[in-house]
Amino acid sequence: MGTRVRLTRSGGFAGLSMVASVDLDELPESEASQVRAALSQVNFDGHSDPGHAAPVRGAADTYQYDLEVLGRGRRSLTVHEPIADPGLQTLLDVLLPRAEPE
Amino acid sequence: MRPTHLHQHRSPVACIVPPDLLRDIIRNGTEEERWAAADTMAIDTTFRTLRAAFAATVAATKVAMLPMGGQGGQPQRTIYDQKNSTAIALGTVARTEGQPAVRDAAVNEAYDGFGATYKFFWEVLGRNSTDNAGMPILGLVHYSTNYANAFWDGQGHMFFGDGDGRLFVRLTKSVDVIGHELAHGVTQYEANLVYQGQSGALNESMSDVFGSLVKQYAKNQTAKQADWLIGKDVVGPTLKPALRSMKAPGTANPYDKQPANMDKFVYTAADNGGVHINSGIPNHAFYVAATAMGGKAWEKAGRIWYDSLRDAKIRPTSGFKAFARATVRQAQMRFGDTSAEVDAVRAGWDKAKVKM
Ligand SMILES: [Zn+2]
Repeated sequence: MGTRVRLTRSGGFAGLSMVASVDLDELPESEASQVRAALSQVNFDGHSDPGHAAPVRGAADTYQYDLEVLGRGRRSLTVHEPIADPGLQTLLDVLLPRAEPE
Repeated sequence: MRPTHLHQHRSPVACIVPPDLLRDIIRNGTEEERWAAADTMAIDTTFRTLRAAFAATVAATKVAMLPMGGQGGQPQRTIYDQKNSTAIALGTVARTEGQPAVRDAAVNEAYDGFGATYKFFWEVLGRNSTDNAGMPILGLVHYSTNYANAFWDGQGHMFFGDGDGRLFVRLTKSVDVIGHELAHGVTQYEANLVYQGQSGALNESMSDVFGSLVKQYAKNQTAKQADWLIGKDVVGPTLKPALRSMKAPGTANPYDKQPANMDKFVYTAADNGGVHINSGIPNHAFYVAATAMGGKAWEKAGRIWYDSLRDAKIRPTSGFKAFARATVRQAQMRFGDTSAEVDAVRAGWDKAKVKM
């Protein structure tokens, strides 16, 4: 059974939602391993507190990222830029070029 | 206007006073009460962070040498080149106040756009910069790589990307984008509307309203002449012909999901609860009110909206209804209870189906 990763970038000045939904089994192996490596570094627990889930106080038009990973169970997180987690940044770098407007 | 003797000794109001009440005191209390409240608010982490951020900025740019909060009428702009870095620390100084144009178009666009925005707030509304106390205007251009966005960081900085060529081209190319971002700062210093759900959509709408007015003022257009589009000059092929329409929300481009009235209010977890989506509702109310009044939109409707943003009854969590009521109240105070302006304001909210 494969792992499905869904990334939604919303907000920003445009308020446009960009969605990338990939099944790791369908990705070229080099990219799949990149995503797996990045996922293993993402700290889902660290982003579960509201301090990360909400934008910096007073800030406006920053991007909101919603990440959902479906495989053995479901993991998800919501963060706002600036992204501090290097694992998450790698994941965004791989997935965002595949995102399409919703 | 904020005096320069900011740290003069005063006894802060007890810390248990809710921030909302403090804001009311700051707006409506006696001079002594106002400054005591202001000091108490300064204890709040956000304001402490803000002051610290500004202090650092001031030290870095020697803006401290310039008169702050003086007579007003003179912006204090500094544009930084982030050189495509994602670092949020201030980049290389590219142009400071009074310096001639440089070779970099983004730098000059930001400088001029901030100039037009400052001029609008000062000449039309008598506001001296973002905080109404001559706050330095700091723009950071060439942020990140192919970055199709611009944002206000909540700490006095406005970031602009070069665009991805798909959603957006260079974000500094349009004065309504620059006005939109600076207006987020104005909102933060006034009602401080929470960036979530209805208060967040109201926050977004204030920025679209003032961004649009900055552009109309610069072009000296009447409400009738204006196109009421947001981001027309910065959209790429995907978002053409414009990002948003205040005249006809939901029709600006193929992905425009903005509702024009409350019947179509969008409930979503994305975009902080659809703040850029549902802003279409108050945006449309403003358009209807401004065009019903006729003339230049900033003269009456803009003034009413600005006064409402500063209305003591508008709290950080206020929604459309509270704001609609404030606009009616402010229109009544300025133009009279039975004035045509009050009718126009009511017509706007009526069209947007916001019940008062
Ligand atoms: Zn905005």
